[in-house]
Amino acid sequence: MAHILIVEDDRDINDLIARNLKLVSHTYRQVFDGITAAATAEKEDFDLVLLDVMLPGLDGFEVIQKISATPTIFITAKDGLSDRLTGLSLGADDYIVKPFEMLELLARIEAVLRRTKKNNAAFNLDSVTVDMTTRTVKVKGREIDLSPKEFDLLEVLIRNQNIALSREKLLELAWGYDYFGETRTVDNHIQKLRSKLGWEERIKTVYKLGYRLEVKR
Amino acid sequence: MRLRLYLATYLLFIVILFSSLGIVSTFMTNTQINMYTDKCIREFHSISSALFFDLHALVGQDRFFAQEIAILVDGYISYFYQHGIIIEVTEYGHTAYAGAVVSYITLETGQYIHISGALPAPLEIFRLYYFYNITAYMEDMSRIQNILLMVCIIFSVITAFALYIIVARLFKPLGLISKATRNIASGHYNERIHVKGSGELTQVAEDFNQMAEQIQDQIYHLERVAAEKQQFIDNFAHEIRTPLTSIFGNAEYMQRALLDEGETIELTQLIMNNSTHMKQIANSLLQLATLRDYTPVVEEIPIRRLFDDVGKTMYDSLLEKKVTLKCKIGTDSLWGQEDLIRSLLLNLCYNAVKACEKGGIIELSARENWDYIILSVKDNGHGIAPENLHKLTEPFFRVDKARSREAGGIGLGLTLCKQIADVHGAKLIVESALGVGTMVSVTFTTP
Repeated sequence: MAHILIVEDDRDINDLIARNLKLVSHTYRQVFDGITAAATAEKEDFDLVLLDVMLPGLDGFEVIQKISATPTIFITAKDGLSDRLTGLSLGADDYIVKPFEMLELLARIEAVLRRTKKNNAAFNLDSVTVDMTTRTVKVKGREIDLSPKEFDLLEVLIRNQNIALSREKLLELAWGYDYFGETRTVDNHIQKLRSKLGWEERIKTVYKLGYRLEVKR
Repeated sequence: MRLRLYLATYLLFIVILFSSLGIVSTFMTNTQINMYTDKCIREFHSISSALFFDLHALVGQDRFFAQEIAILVDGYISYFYQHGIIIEVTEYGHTAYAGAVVSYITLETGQYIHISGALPAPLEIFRLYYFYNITAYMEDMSRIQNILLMVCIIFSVITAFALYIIVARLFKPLGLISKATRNIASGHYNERIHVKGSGELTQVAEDFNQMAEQIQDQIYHLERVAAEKQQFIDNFAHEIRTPLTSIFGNAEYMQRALLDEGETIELTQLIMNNSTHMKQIANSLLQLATLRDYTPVVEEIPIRRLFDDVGKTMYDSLLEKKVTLKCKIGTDSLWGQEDLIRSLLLNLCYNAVKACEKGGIIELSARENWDYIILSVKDNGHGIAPENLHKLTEPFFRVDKARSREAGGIGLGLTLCKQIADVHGAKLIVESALGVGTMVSVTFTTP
């Protein structure tokens, strides 16, 4: 999917982010200080940079000025308004305050990638091909009909592959915050997707949690 | 206050000035009038006796020569008239009151001293009336009085201004003090008063300055303490946020992702490590809090045993990094609470081991200097930059953040050491040079 540079000096957090990115099949590179970050961004082409503000060497605000061409999300431990404003004024696309939930980080990454059109590669699994740009789905080369909501749900599952999502979360992500539907709507759509795509074994029901699109890693 | 003082002083001045003016001018007028009256009485008597003799000569023959008398009296009248004195002589058929009567009368033509009296016997039937015009004198008098009054008024006006200036000058320090007080009240604690000279108000100003100095010191002290507290809270929030993010993130991952067995073990280990880290922070903070107003249970600690204990506890980490620990014992014992002193030395030794490269040397020493006992831990590690030296005992301060975290440090070790030194009345001093090494010495100033 996307190639992402993680700049975070705390090894545990850095690893945690990397693990989650790997889960949804992004590729990544981990660096732990500002100077290496700037150098790596110069050598390699990234779709997105996750950038901690407090870094040894160069701080996040200094790093972003060297890599301004790449979309950037700031990770900050301070929730001070001035830090956010500084970050956004320097050209950051978004910011997230520690401690954060992984689903939230992934959602923000998705949003930025969508906005910068860096995440439009086709998705292949088994005999299914999903084209995000044209919103078409082919099974064994043959195009099949999906309702717009079914496609939205499919896209959410693909973007959060290997992550179990609750019905509420799926409603929120695919239908939107303002949708007051029942969680049964989600179950119905999942059933349809399973049968239309032949994904009975791919879209797993996770006990007490929800659904998970399982893709071999 | 200032206006009231001014008005009261001025009123007093005016009252005194004008009442003395009144007294003086009344006195002057009276004196003058008395003087004239005396003169007039003398003159009256001389006229009276002259007239008596002249009349007596005429009246000697026991009959009156009315004609001659009239001529004589007219002569007198015209003579004296030329000298500004009016006299009249009347003839009563009977004897009136013999003495002279003095009175002051005001006629259309002016003011007069009037004296009337009978001529001596046997001519007592003749009465002499004497008028002396004092209008000119009285006018002179009132002119003088007017001039005096004018002068006094002019003086009053001048005094009004002069007094105003004097009072303003006298009250200037008070005004300055009041202004400075307001400034200080509104938060400008560096406000001071500059008053020249000496006097009560200058003294007040000096006292005020001293007070302001005290307040400023206190405020700065409070501000510094508050800033330190805020810094501590910020640091603390940051310190627990990192392990919390890791714990939450890994738990979230474990819940939502499909895990294999290796991953489960790896992630639970991470969660446990971070929990341990937080537990250590909590323990250290608790220890710091306990030590804040703590009085140590002091006993005599044999230095040899103390160093032995430290050496045994450090053994594994020394071996791991191939660091040598040397002990120099220059004194036998030390008074202190043994577990605290041991924990202090252990903290310092662990820091020293962390600072050392493989094969480094740590020297633990106890010696006596001027009745003071000095414990010190010296290493030949990488040293500390001078700009970081004074921050070492700040909670959560780390010279090398990444390295410390990897090594499991929580950034409270030296803070704890300083606290332990403080409750023992000891001084903790860190000397260091980059690339040469660090020496931390604890000087026990109380035996």
